[in-house]
Amino acid sequence: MNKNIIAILAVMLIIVLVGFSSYNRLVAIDENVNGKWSQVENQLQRRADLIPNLVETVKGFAAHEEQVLSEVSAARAKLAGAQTVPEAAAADAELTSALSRLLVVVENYPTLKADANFRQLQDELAGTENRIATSRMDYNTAVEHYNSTIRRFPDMIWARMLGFDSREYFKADEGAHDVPEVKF
Amino acid sequence: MSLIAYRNGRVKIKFITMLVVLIATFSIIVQAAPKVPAPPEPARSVNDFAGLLGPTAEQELEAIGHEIWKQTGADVVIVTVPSLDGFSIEEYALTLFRSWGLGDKEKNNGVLFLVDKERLLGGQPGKVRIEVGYGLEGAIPDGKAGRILDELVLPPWEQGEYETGIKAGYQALVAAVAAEYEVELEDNPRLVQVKEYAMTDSSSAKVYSLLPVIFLFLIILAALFSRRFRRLAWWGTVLNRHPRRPQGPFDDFFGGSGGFGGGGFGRGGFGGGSSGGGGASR
Repeated sequence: MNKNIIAILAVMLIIVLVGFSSYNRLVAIDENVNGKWSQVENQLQRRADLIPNLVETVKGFAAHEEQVLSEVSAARAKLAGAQTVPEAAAADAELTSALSRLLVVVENYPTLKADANFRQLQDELAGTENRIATSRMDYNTAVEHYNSTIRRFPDMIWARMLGFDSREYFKADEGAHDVPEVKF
Repeated sequence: MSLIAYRNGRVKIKFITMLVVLIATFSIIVQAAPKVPAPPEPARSVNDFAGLLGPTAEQELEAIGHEIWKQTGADVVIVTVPSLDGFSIEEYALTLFRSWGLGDKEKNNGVLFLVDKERLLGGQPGKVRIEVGYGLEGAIPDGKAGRILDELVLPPWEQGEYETGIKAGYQALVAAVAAEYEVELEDNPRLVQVKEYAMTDSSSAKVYSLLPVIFLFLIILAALFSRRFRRLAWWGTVLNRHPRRPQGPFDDFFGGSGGFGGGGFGRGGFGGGSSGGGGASR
């Protein structure tokens, strides 16, 4: 056979093999991002599940704080309806803000604060918020790894072609944080 | 439940502050991580870098920690540090937990009891955290961790009894892990003392466990007042039923059955497990 043809075939073979390993790596990293995202969703769901209980308990002691309570329920519904990562991030920030406003309101109800049930809910809520923060951090780390991989040589050659687009970070807009100042 | 001698106002500030701090600190993608001490080699359950425990207490707790590890493979670890270097205790605990790799890699059955001396002496919030790996979240849910701190750790600390508080909290954690793995405390002379600190399930769980009993009571009453006592045989079976032990949501996934041999006498490193951020702080 013509030496040139062999050479060309060999080069093509190398390209294909490198492409395979690149693809496999990208798949693994992409799946990692998916896994971390589902953890984020888990924790957001966990908090969503806690909220009706929290709202009911607070209502039991502070029935006329309707506005804040309905804000929390509305924010929770919004988060449940979020479709994309940025939507979820924005809804999450809103819910966190509504919850902290609720906790400020609770300050005025010492019997509520002393209630054992409420204290347990607070611990669970705080624990869940921490888990959300942790899973967000893990997700963003995974996305960073993925995004930088698809931009580096040689993976970048195949990435777009094979359908690996960059993924979005979980971060809320600057203005969405509206946590009130607590003065004592 | 014992009466708690802390001011409700202080605890409340803590939660709001925590939410604010969490939003602020975790909203950036790559943040400077706290510098935590290097893990001890071989692994030790008691790591008193801040010198809050006397030698007797340290030995006592280390023996308990080693024994629970032997029986269950769980890493229940105390770490006291002189300062958090400006980081929140949640961040610090998470970083420490993961860098030391507490608990088995697959089972994630690690528990970290972290105390910051600086804030402890300063009477500030964010001085203590119980961080629980995924595998033990059924045994030590956030509510229980919070109650361990409120009822067993904080009251002695209010009196300046730091060692007492740490000992009580640690033993409560070990008791919870032992219960999860169904380790019989009476049969184990090295662990039997932690029984005193076992924390009951949450107050709401206690109420739920009463419901079947209330039902039974009503049924019996109804039977008593029904025409003639013709259901005598039926009574017998009703009275023999026992209320179900309340089950947490994670029991089916992570509940251990039977003991778990932890391997030889020596202990290498920790198991390489991770934490998801669960637990409670005060």
